[in-house]
Amino acid sequence: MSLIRRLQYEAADRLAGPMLGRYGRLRALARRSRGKRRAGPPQLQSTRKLKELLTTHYLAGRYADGAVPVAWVTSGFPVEILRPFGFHVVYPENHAALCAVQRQGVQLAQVAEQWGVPRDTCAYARCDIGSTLAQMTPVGRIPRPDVLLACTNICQTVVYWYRTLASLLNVPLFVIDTPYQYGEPDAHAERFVARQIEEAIALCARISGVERDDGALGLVAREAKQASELWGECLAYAKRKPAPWSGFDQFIHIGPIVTLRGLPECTAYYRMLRDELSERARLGIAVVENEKHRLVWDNLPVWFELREMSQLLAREGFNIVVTTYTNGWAETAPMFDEHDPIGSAARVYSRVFINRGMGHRTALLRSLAKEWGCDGVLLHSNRSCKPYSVGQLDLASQLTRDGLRTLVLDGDHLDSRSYSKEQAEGRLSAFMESFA
Amino acid sequence: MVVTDEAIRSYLASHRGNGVVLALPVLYPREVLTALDLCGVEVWAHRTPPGCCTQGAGSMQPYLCPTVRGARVLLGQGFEGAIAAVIPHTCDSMQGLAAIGLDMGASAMPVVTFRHPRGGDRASAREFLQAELRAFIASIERIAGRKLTMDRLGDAIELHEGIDRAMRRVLRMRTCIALGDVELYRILRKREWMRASDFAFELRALEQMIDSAATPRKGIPLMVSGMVPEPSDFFEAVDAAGAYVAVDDYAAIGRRLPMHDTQEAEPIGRLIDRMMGAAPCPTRTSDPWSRVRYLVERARAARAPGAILHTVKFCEPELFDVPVLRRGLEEAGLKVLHIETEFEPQMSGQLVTRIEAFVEMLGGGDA
Amino acid sequence: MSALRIGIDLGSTTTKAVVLDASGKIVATALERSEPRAGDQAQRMIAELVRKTGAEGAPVIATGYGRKLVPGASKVVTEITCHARGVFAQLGRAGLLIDMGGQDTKAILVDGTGRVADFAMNDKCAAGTGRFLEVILPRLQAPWDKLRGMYQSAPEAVQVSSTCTVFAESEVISLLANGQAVEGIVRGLHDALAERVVALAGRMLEMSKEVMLSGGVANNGAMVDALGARLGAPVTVVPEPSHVGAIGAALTPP
Repeated sequence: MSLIRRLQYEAADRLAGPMLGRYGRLRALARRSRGKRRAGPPQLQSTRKLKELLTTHYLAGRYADGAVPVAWVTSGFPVEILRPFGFHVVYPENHAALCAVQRQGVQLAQVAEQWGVPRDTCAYARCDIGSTLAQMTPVGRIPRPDVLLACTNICQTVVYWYRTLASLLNVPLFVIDTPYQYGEPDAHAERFVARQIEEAIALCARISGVERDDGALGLVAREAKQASELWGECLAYAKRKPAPWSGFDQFIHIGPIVTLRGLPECTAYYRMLRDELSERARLGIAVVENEKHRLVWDNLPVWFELREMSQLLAREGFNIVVTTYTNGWAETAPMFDEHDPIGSAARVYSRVFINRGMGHRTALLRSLAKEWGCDGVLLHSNRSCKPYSVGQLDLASQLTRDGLRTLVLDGDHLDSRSYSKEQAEGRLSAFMESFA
Repeated sequence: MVVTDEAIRSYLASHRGNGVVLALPVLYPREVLTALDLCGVEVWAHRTPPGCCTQGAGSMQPYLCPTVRGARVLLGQGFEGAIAAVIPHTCDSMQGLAAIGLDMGASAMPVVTFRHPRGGDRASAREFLQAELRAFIASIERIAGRKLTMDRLGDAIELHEGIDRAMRRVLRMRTCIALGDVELYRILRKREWMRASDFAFELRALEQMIDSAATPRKGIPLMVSGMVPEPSDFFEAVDAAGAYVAVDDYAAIGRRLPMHDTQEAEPIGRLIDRMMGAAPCPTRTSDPWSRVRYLVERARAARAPGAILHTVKFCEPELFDVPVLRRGLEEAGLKVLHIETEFEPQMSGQLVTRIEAFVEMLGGGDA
Repeated sequence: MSALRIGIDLGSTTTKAVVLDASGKIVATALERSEPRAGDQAQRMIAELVRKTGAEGAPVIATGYGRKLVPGASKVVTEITCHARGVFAQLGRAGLLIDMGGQDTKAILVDGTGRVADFAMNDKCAAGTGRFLEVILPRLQAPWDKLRGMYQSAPEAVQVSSTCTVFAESEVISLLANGQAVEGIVRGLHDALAERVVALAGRMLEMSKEVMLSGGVANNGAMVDALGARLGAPVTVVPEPSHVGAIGAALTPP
């Protein structure tokens, strides 16, 4: 790793990123003074810090390869184990979501399709494969990885997706397989996961040339646990009626807990966000004026329609206050144990809700609906994401029998070509009318 | 609920053994069913009554594969008095189906799951597979109400090894058997629903038809790689176009066969070897480049100038391999045609045209 | 025995027939909307051409969707092979032929001898075919012969994001309801279709210097422009674009 490269990386990470973040803040101020303020309550103050954090992360990324070891990882990978080795970590899923929000996802997916990836596959995967093929990204530049790390707890698709990337980039791929837990968590599966985490640590030590340090692993586990608990506290503020923030806000503020988990700045960020939400709650600030009905959201968001959908709901006094997706990062991480960083990571990452059976999923949705005081559930049937979507029709019937109003909404987390805005908005409106 | 295939129905009427088990594709320890004298009937949804795949759409999204959609109906309505459904972890959708069967009251019979490790052949994976096999055996024993002895399991494995050897020989000597593809595959696919001893008998008859002195088959030899040859008029289209299947890499047939004989003595270890040693398959997350090498070698041995990738609609594991396979095979000089099936009762004219045009292209365009 | 030969292409939407002389020159052509009894229709069209050109006893080669239904055809060949042969006879060089018909769109890589080097064809979905336009254009009351003018006069394309024909139709209705200009939508529709064609052709685009367009949709100038714009290079419209398959059939050795 070259020294100059390292200096560039550090400078971007510590100085330029934060400055750019502030510049963004100034621009936002200028926009506001021109009277283009969006409707509804003022934006969360923390959003600025969020932008700064993520801008810094992506900017530092531009200089990461050659400076520090770089890993591309899935959102469900035990990233904590990478921190003591000084890896810069890239999240292709997060990147794809960002492309989708900026409505560039389809264009990149088309590159992958032209290269030969069929369209009946996950659009995140197509977007990232396209981005890698065309070397195009809205974030400027993504550092070349030394290793790809995937964990099957979110889907089996990641293996295919990462393998394609590994073959295009000619870098090694390591998969941690977290066997699906149909019923109660089983010991032999979690033992298998723990062994693979050990194998992954050995690989990371080899790539980075840094020796394994169990003390440091424990500290990172503690940091991750803290941040996840803070994230959980933030989510819990939406239990207030009216809610001080919405599921749509949560989709945006989830960034750091996914990408920076285990780092102190992540913990600091959620402390700040929690304090702000607590203040909002104290003042009784509502994110949706005249909040009348509260909903649970299941599955990933329709990223490219986030704003339109939230406005459509808000106009009628509907608020999504909790989602299975954002709750996922608060659900199991409190199980981290700094005294047993590997064994506890095996449990944390095996028991992620999407890696567990439908009984767990049903109980989860019921308890979210109850605790967050919801009277309806929106299930996004996500064409791109089969593991998240299989079973939703059964879930919907079960929840309807429980007395909740449910709507299964056809969509996609990235591919707007297989989404019918007219149909979706029509169905959402009819759903809302049914509450009258 | 009855299965539409008359051959299966009449077989099951008199050969149920100790009970029928519904099995879903692809890889599960069939040897264990054999050892307990259970008749495992594997269903890829094409054997379900007409309309099942679309019926499934009432409770399963239309963007899920037809195997999963069809199997959902069978789970719910029962299947030939099956005492259990075996659902291996083949893909995310199949995993979801098992979860629905277990927890959402969607299955009329007990569901037994089987998880294959997905991170490659590492020591930790073999250890997991061992524990998983033991758990699987315990579940089946409970449902069948009988204990499995290691001796019986050893015998069952031996029987399946013999079948594998015979199938490999039949597929290798394919050109020396005076049977059309439709007829040949009708026999080979009995493995999916016959008890092993009965199927071994059928195979022996097939082996006796091998006539190495026979004039080799006319037509263009093709390699086919995919999940399952459905609808079966695929073979008629290939035949009418002037070609035949010389290399079989269907997950339902040739891809199941282990590539090497096992050296293990202990039955569980042998089962692990057999599973880990099966031909490369994306449902077990095999590396696609190793799949390319394996296929190229086989295509060359059979002098096949072209390969048909015959995938099932919405099958992510296979679809993600398509670009790499296409490149790898083309670099090795093979032409590649990719077609998809949704288990429609008949092939569309459009698909038939593509197959014919492909064979015309391989024939040098002199058609 | 006549030195003339007859090729007939029974497409899903139209049926085309040609008579060629011994040198391969077109003597006569016919084109009709395809009828349910394709065999009878083919027989009648052939009889009319024979009467007109005196091609009694000429070999008849059939291709297209209904190729197996032609009574007395001396040979049956797929439209993929015929299109390659037909376009090569017309243009005399290698290239990537895009044939956009009513229900099918094909991309055929033609080598320097007029043979098929590779090909792709749309799946069951009609999203990338002429049908896509046929369904949606009536909503815009845009006549076929005015499309190119509308495409060119649109200040910018109105993005039509759905590729599914049914979704796109409802999207267009709502775009109109939102007051979007018809010209912009026409442009957006053709751009979306061009994108679909490019996806179908995939890597074959990299293997060819020239893209050629045939099929009924090649008569639509807006499509020619949209495809050219998407590819960044002009597209060659094959002469007699609807008859390329029939010409290739007639040139097939009986």
